[in-house]
Amino acid sequence: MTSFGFLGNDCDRFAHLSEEARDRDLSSDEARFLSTHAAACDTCRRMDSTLHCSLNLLRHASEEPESDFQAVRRFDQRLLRAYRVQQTGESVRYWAPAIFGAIAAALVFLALIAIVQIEPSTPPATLGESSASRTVAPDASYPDLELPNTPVRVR
Amino acid sequence: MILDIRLIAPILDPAVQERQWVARVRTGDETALRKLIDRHRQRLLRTATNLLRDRYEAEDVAQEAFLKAFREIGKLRDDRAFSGFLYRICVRLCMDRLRLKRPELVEFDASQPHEGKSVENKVLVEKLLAQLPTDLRTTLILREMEQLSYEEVAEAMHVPVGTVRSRLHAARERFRKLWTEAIRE
Repeated sequence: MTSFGFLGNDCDRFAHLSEEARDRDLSSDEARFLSTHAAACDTCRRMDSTLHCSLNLLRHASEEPESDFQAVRRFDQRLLRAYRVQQTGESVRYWAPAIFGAIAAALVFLALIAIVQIEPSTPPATLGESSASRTVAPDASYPDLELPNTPVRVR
Repeated sequence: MILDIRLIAPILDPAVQERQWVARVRTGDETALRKLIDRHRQRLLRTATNLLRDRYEAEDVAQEAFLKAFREIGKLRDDRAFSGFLYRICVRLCMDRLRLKRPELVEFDASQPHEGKSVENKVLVEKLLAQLPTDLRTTLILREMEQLSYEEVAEAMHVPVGTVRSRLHAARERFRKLWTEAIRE
């Protein structure tokens, strides 16, 4: 007998339960329905058979990782090395703002010191009158500043 | 002789043990780190190998998952959740790699050890899985190969259980059809 003798709903229910059977224990009613329908419907029986065969094939194709001592050791060593590199990178990232802040503060401090040192060498015009008279020395370029009765040295 | 349960509990209960190791890893204890690696290495490698079908790529992903988990261990609110946290990272990394891969048939590496299982079956499974979209493939592998519950698959893939259910149904059906076509050829 083929599926033509059944209502579509029965085949749908069979398909649903057939899949459910892989995930949970079916009730006795559900199990009975499955076996009754499978016995009568070729299409559903074939579908159920192919579903279980394909999924069993999949289940048995599961890979087991290498478990020999050398492979495990190699994996662990590589992982620990990468972990240490990661930790170093993280500590650098953690301290980086503090280090950059300190460098910036030091640069500002040095710049301030430099400004304070540059300040006395400003042009004489800006200085007060008394200090200007003290700093200007008699020079040939300023003849008016020479005293009239300066003795002339004779060899 | 009276035994204090608080003293022997960490020895007997792996969950308590793991919680202690996680707390110690936070303080930078490398011994605890090694113990965590030792506990989860095989499972992570197996899952990654099943998802990626490549032993060497699986090692890379497992290592990346461990590193990411250790880097973000501070964000973990519950120390008991480390195992799921690590597994979730691994599955996501595998899915990212699968999405980046071109949807082509991957050649099966026959040089890898098979522990007596049929190489032909593995080749076939390999070819069939390669034809499934990433989400369906991951769901199918986690459920059928890794034998995770619906809730565990949902947690690992960060999707609702209902989505897992519908994806699994679609994945099984497509895998079945592909398999039927393959054996007919």
